[in-house]
Amino acid sequence: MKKLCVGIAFVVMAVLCFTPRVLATDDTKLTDEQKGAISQNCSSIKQGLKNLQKVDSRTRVFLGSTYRNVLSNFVTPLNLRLVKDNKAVSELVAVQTDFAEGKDEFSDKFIKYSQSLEELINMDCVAKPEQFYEKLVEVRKKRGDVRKIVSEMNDTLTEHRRIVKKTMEEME
Amino acid sequence: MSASRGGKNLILLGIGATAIALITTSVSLLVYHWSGDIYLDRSRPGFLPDEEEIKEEAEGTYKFSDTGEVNAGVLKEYLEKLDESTERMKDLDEPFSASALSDETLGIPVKTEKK
Repeated sequence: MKKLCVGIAFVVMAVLCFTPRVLATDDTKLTDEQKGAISQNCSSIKQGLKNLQKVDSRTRVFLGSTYRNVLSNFVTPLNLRLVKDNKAVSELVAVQTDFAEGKDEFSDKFIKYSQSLEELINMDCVAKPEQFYEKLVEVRKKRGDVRKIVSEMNDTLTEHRRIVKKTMEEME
Repeated sequence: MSASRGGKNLILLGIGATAIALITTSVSLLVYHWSGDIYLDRSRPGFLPDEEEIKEEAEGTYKFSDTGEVNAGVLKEYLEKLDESTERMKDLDEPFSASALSDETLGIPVKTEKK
């Protein structure tokens, strides 16, 4: 029994230790052609990343201000007005909470993504193309996290519209 | 002798003040960087907003009143104004799309075989 437990523990440890590494290596392993292209096009890749950084910054400001506007000028006052009029809708209150949390999460995820992107831009891609690519994979993941939260915010807004429309129809 | 000591003290005061200013400025910049505020700040060089953006911000925004009766008409107007305010979000073509960081976009040859 003791041997069986030790065996299971060993297998679990082995899976935990080696699986992520194998996946990461497979994902980020470069061919010689890719390494050469990264080293050769290093400056143009970095210029492209710097341009992207500026575009992303503009998108962040636009989305951030839109979320803030929707929350403070629409969602929150509507809920307040419904409560004052004794017509509070619990679903709308839940959506307000989700929207406020999502807005904060958007900022956090954007900061994490931007930090990684800046680290990537400051890396030496001529001498270390493999490390550069590993970092690029990490940046892609963090960009994906930002994209996901933007999509969730859109869904929350759509849900808000749906509930308001339903409430409106019930009042007609 | 007294004037010389005064001069020395003045120099020490100057050095001390400069050192304190350097330390506090460095700490402020570190906090600014570590907190991530630097990535949200568009007043830094190269990230300044365009004229068009400044104009849009100055135009002012609608605010739904938090007092008064709520009826179907009010909610209809609310939805119209909400759509107006969020209309420009539709113009954003896939924000933070994956393609912007793809191998093809960055000029890295796409892997054709796995070793």
